[in-house]
Amino acid sequence: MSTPADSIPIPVERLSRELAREKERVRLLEEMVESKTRELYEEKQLLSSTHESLQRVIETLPSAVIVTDGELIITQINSRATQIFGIEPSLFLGKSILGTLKREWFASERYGSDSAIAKEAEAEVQYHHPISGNLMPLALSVRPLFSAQQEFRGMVYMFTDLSARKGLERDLLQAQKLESIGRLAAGIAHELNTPAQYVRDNMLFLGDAFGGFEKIIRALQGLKSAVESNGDLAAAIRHIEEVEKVIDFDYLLEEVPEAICQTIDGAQHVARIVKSMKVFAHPGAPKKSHADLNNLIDSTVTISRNEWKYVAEVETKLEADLPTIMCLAGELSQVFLNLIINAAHSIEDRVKRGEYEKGKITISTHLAGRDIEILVADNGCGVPDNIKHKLFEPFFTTKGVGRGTGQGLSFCYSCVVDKHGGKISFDSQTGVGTTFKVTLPTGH
Amino acid sequence: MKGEVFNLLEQYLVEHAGPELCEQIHAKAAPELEYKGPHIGPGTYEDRDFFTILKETVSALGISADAAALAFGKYCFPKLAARFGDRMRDYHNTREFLLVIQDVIHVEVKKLMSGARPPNFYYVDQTEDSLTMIYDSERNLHCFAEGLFYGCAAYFGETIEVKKELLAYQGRKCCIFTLTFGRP
Ligand code: HEM
Ligand SMILES: Nc1ncnc2c1ncn2[C@@H]1O[C@H](COP(=O)(O)OP(=O)(O)OP(=O)(O)O)[C@@H](O)[C@H]1O
Ligand SMILES: [Mg+2]
Repeated sequence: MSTPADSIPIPVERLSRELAREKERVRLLEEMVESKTRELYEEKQLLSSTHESLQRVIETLPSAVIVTDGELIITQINSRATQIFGIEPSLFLGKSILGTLKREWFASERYGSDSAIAKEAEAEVQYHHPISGNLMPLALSVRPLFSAQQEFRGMVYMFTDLSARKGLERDLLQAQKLESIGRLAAGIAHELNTPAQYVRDNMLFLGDAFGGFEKIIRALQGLKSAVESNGDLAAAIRHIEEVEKVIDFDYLLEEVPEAICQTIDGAQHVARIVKSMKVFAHPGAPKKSHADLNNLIDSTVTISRNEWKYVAEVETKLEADLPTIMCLAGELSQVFLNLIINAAHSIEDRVKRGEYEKGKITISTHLAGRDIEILVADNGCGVPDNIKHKLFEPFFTTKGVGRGTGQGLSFCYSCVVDKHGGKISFDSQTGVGTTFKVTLPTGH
Repeated sequence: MKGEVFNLLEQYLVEHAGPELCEQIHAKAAPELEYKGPHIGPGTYEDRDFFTILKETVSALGISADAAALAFGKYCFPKLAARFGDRMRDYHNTREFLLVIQDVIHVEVKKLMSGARPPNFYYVDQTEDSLTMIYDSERNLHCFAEGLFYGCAAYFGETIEVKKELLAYQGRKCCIFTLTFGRP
C-alpha cells in the first residue's frame, strides 16, 4: 500500500522558499510596526508641543480665557483668569463651567450648549472679586468651537477687564461736559455780568447816598450842640432843612432800601448761577446718589438761559414733592440741557423764518405710578417723518458746523436707558412742535 | 498600489494556476520589479510592479490582459468585502452598496491603509434597477472594476449586466459603466 505521502513528492525546496518568504514578511511587518510606533511617538510629541505653544499664546492674552469641551467641562484656562477671578486654575479644570463663577453667564438658555444653538455672544457682566472685594466690569465674548467637519467641540469664553476703559469713558464724558460748559461759558458770563452791573451801580448810588446821610448827621450834630449850649436852635433847624433839600432826603429814604434789596437780589442771582454750574462741573461721581429732579431742572434752566432767552420763554411746571431718585445727577443735567438746547434751536429756526417773535419751551415733571415723567415740549419746527428713526443715532445732526455734533440725543439715550433703566421718546409734528418724554424709575 | 492587492493577486494565482506556476510567474517578473521581496498588506508598492506581474500572468496563462483583470476583480470582491466584516450587513443589495463605494468604502480604505489611492467614481444617473457611474483612475483598471461589479452582484445573490463605454476626458481615460441589476 502506498500512502499519499509516498505518491506525491513533498516539494521541500519550494516549501522552504515559501517559509523564507513568510519569515521575511514577518520581519518586514515588525519593522513596519516599529516605525509606525516611532511615527506615532513623534506625532504625539508634536501634538503636545503644539498644545503647549497654544497654551503659551493663550497666556499672552490680556484677557481671561476659559475653554471648555462640548459638555462645557473646562479644559483650559489662562493665568489672567486666575488674576481676574482670584481663583486657582485647579478649581476650574475638569469642572463644568456652569458650576463655576456665575451660572447665568453661561447658562445654556443664554448661549446654548449644544451644536444646534451654540452661538456667538457678547455681554457686559459684573464680577465681585473674592479677595479685593472690588466690583469689576467685564466684557464677555463667547465663541463656539467647531471641528473642521463643523462638529460642535466646545466653547471659548473671553473676559476682558473693562475697569480701565470705564475710567477712560468717564474722562471722555467729563471732557464732553467741559466742552458744553465752554459753550455755555460765554452765555453765563453775560448772565453774571447783568447782576454784577447793577450791584455796582447800586453800590455807587449807596456811596453817594452815604455822603448825603453824612451831611444830615453833621447837621443833626449841629442841632445837638446848639441844644446843649443854648445856642441858636432856629438856625440849626434851618440848616437841617437846607441840607435835606440839597441831598433830596425823601428820595434817598425811598431809594436806598430799594437799592439794598436789589443788590442782595443781584448777589443771590450770581450765587444761584454759580451753584448751578457746580452741578455740571462736578466730576460725574460714578456712583449714583439721591437727587431732586426739580432742582436739577431748575439749575439747568438757569445756566442755559442765554441759549434760549432771545428766542423763547421757558415755563416750568414742576410737580411739588416728587420723590428723590438715585441717579447720576451730573449726567441727567446734561440730558435736560441737551433737550432744552435742541428745543431752543428748533424754535430759533421758526423765529428766523419770521413765523413768530418768541416761542415757548415748557418743562414739566410729574409722578406716573412708580416713575417720574419729565416732558420737554417746544413749539418749534418739529421733526420731519423721514428722519424720525435716526434721531438717537450717534452723530446724526441736521445742524450746521459749530451748532450741533449729533451726539446730544445719543448721549441722552445711553444715559436714560442704559444707565438709569429709563425710557426716552418723542412726539413731533412739523410746524407744530416736539415733546420729548423722559421716564425715570423712582425705584420705590 | 497597496500590498493587499499584490497579495490577493498572488493568492489568486496560487489558487488558479498552482504554487509552482505562481513561483514561475514571479521569477519571470523579478528582473523588471522595483521591489523584489515579498509584499506585505500594509506596504505600498509601485503600480508598475503590479502591471509587470499582471503581464507575466497573462503570458503564462495565455489569456488577454482584460480577461485576467476581470477574473481577478471577480475573485477579489468577497475577499475585500470580508475586510469590512459586520459592516457589510448595512447593505442589502448591489445597487445600494455601489452607491457608497466612493463616499464610504474607499474613504474607509484611505483611513485604514496609509497611502491607499483608490479610484474615483462619479454617479451620473440611476433608476430603481440601474446605475450609471463613471470610473476615473490613472491606472485605467476598468476591467478590474468590472470584475468587482460581477463579484459584488454574486456576493448579494443578484445578477448584473455591465455596459462599458471608454472615453477620454481632458486627456484622461475614463470609463462609463451602465449597470442593470436583476434578481434571479
Ligand atoms: C464593487 C465595489 C468596488 C469597486 C468597483 C472597487 C473598485 C476598485 C478599483 C477599480 C480599484 C483599483 C485601483 C484603481 O483603479 O485606481 C480599487 C482599489 C482598491 N479598493 Fe476597491 N472597489 C470596490 C470595493 C472595495 C472594497 C469592499 C474594499 C474593501 C477593503 C476595497 C478596497 C480597495 C483597495 C485597498 C484598493 C487599492 C487602493 C490602492 O492600492 O491605492 N474596494 N477598487
Ligand atoms: N426738539 C427738537 N425739534 C426738532 N428737531 C430736533 C429736536 N431735537 C432734536 N432734533 C433733531 O435731532 C437731531 C439730533 O439731535 P442731537 O441732540 O442728537 O444732536 P444735535 O443737537 O444736532 O447736536 P449736539 O446735541 O451734539 O450739539 C438734531 O440735529 C435735530 O435735527
Ligand atoms: Mg442736541
